[in-house]
Amino acid sequence: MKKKRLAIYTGTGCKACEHAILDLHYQVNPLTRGADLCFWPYLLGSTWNELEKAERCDVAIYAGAIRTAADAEAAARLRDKADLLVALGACAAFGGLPGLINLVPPADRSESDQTPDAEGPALPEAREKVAAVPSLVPVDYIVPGCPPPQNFLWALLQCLLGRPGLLSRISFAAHRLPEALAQAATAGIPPRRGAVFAGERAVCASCSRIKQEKRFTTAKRPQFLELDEGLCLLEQGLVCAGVATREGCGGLCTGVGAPCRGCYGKAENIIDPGAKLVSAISSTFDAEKPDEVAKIVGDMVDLSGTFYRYTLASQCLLAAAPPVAAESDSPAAPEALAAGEEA
Amino acid sequence: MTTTLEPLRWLEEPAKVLVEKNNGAVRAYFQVTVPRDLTAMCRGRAVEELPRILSILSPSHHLLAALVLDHLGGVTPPDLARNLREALLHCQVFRHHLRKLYFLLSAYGNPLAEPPGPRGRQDLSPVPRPVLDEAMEHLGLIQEAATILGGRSDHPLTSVAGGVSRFLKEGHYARLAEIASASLAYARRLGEFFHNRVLAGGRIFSELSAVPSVQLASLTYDPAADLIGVVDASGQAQETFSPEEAVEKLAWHQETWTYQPFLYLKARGWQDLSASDHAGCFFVGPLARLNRNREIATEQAEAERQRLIEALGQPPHYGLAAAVWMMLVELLEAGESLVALCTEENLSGPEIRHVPQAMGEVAQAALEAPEGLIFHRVQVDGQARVLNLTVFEAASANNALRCLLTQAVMAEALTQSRPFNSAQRSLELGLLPT
Repeated sequence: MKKKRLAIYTGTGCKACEHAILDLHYQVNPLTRGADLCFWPYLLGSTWNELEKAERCDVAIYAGAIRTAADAEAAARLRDKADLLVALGACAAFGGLPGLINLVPPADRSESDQTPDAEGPALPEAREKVAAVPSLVPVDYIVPGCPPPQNFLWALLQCLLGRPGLLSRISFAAHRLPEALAQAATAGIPPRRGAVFAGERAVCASCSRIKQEKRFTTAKRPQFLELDEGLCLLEQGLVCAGVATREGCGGLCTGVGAPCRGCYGKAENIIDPGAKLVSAISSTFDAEKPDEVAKIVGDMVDLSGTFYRYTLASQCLLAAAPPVAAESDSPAAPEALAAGEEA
Repeated sequence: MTTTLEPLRWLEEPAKVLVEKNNGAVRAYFQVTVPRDLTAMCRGRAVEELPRILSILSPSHHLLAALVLDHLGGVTPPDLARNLREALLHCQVFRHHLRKLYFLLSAYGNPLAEPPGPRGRQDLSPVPRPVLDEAMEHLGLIQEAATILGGRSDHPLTSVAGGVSRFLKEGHYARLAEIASASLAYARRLGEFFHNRVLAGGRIFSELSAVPSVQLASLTYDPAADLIGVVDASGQAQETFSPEEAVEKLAWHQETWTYQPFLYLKARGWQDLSASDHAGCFFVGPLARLNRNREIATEQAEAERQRLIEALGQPPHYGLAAAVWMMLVELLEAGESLVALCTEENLSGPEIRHVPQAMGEVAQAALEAPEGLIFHRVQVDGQARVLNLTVFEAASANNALRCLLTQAVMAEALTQSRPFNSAQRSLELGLLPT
């Protein structure tokens, strides 16, 4: 049985997602048992030319957000070259933390007052808005998280590369996945296109903190609050995005006393995570009069940067680019993508 | 004639090298191809979110951002929190250096290729496959320790204003002690491997020694004195200044051909990279710490540093072999420090935080991170939202070094008529400790 050809690439982002794949190779099962790693610039120094000349890839994994024309071109090239394209991590899937710069007009983003000399070679053009990969090219699967956990990555590879040498650690892969995905990983077959390798419900469903239906009169800031170790953070007055965020992490952040910031994107059946949070958080206000509500709201700061910490570029209905439909004939032309146009 | 070298292995920032050759003259550009965007990303955020947001730069930025919050809130974390943060920093040093050393050792073949079968061709790599496997096994272990201490190993969560967000659990003490002990033992074994198979001579050593070096001033941070120190290119200690003075002493320079800005010493000015004098440029990192020439507090690491000095001479050093050796020294130091710290007595206590009562307007701090000196300064409004943020990270501090190294490697390679792929390989090795 021929090994599947696997390509791995990061656009704009840290290399944590690629490190997670490398860790998987050493800590879970050697990837080379099931995959021919035909393109991995960060680790193997593979070039685009080599990729172009080689036969088609079965699976391409794109990590990182789309910040520059070069990122957009890379996403389009991988889409063209691979049968299946995976957006790996919060940056690729939703725009991630780099998406926060969409809150700032391009003219105000410069960190230097200095006007540089206009000499030397050109750079890839920075796009006006950071985008998630699915808003530029059709994506077949998403593995969310910042960085994604090993078991979901392993489940993805079991599904897409599935072959006898690779199928192992099934229970590890299936852990915290919905039944259909867990079964696909067990069988080593691809699940339905568009599947997200994570849970379906909200983080609250797997958070270990106790909810008491408690209401609050003032919004709290974590630096001034002595946390109650076991109680729901939202009910302690903190803004926690767990109620709108897809589960799968097992409440990792809330478990160590840090409010959820939504790195798995919105939960299934939620349209806009920010709108859901407005609704969920306001329902916990212990206020009846408009000025009491205004007081609580006034104590909250940076709601857009908090509610859409990882998803501003893709899931905020007022500011995001919608995903490209998987059924579309072809991805947008690289020139259009480079210019910053969403498909 | 222009040639582009892309990709460069093992670099965190997306980058490429463009080489222009005109009438025998060579000009090589090290181009970081993605904007930095840090200030734009953080302006307007609640200041307490900075440890989580800035951790995308490196886990050390999480720790430093929390330190700035301590200063902003005017609190000193309790001993337990300080120990937990310190242990996390040592884990990150171990993790950072071990990953770099793994990359170095993996340069002699495809590290992920399946091992040959019994009748397969003999592995001719100077680095046996089990050495790589063991390195990554220990990387996994230290990441487990970092996860226990920081909540996550890559983008930690637990450091907050005035301390940390949670106590460790009962089983954690024994596990951390076990990992610390295994890490120290491994650091010793890896050190011996390097002495016997790398530094003693042979193919790897020849290649490391052949990479050109660049002599620049260096900057380090001394946490005991809370001072940033400058050592000039000749190894002489120059001025020291406090983190409060950092934004006055250091300045940014921007070129159009790279998105990465350059940090330089303001008093000595910015010199064009094609000039012969670079008095204003500096670098940070393990080699900068070696060139500070200070005794290391832990016994085995100090013995290893002395061994380095006996072999290579007194600092300053600028060669790749010295940089790699210093990473081994610091691997030992991190292992020893973890063994000393990871006891139930050190990692337990009655309180994990001193909660601030109010937030000031401006605060700054510096930290000697695994990748080198880093610095944050934050200014907030009345609701503790970020108004201004200055972040000196290693990539900007080392940008001049990276560019000058690129120029030196490419000029030498073309003088010697070496092929571009050979020059690219030298450059990848040379950039590894930066």
